[in-house]
Amino acid sequence: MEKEIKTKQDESLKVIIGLLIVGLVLIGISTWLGRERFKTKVKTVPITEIQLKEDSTPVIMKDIENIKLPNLDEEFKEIDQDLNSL
Amino acid sequence: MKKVAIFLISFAILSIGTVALSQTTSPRLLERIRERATISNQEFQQNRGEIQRLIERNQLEIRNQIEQKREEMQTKIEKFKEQLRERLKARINERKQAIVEKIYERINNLNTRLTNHYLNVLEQLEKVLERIESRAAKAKLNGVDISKVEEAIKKAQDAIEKAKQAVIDQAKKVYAPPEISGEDTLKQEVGKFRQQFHEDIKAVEKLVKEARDVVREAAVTLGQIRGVDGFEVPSATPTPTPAL
Repeated sequence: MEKEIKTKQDESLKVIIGLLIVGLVLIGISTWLGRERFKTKVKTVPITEIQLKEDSTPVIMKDIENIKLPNLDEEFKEIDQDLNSL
Repeated sequence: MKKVAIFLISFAILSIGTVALSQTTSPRLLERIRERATISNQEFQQNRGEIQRLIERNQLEIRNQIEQKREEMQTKIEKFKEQLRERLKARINERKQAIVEKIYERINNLNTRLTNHYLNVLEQLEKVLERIESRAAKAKLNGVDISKVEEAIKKAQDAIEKAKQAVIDQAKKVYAPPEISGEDTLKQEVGKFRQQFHEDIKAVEKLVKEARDVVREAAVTLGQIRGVDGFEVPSATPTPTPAL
């Protein structure tokens, strides 16, 4: 009788341990999946930058600085080389 | 009666001239705003859009005008090249003859390339100035005194117009080939020709640089207004009436 009870207790312990393992595995998987999903979310969410308006002074100044004029000495180089070969 | 007729004809010619001139110069946003009692953001943007289109249309007209002229100029240049070839044949050897012809061609090509570049720079400056004016207008609509900026904008506009005219004149220039007397003076004569072109283009470059500098000055003056980049068109604000 006692042996039977012990066997039953062992079996329920095994079931509990099994369930615990399954539970832990499930928690592990869901945590991992959650992290992956979070990573994807982080990847897809666009980085919000402060958009400067085209008529704001930093943009205007930047555009003025980008307006370049050609170097005349460089532009006349070929003509001067030809001239020197005369 | 005759005097009246002469007066009327002169008046008509002057009026047409003024209208034509006002169409080639860029329209101003601040002037438009000054004429209005109130302005909504939508109307402000519409005015800006219209002005931007007019600026682009004027720029395109100038480009087309130059392109048409260039076609005529090319025929003239070809004739000049032939004349030069004939003139050189009797005076210098074949090798030097080819070099002189090459220099002549290079100078005409460089004139086209540089004037195109300068025109492009001035077009960009016009667009930048329109944006300066837009920001200044927003500040004005918020009750800020922008008289210094307005002054700088006017100065920039004048400088751009002056430079633009100089570029157009330079772009339409056809250089007659150098006068060659003989081998001894060849380098000197071709050098003089090169120098003339260099001086002409340098003078145009100076005006373009000045235009860029005054546009920069206008932007700097605008930037000195406290919190200027934060201003927007206030909802249905009455525009400030000009001081008498």
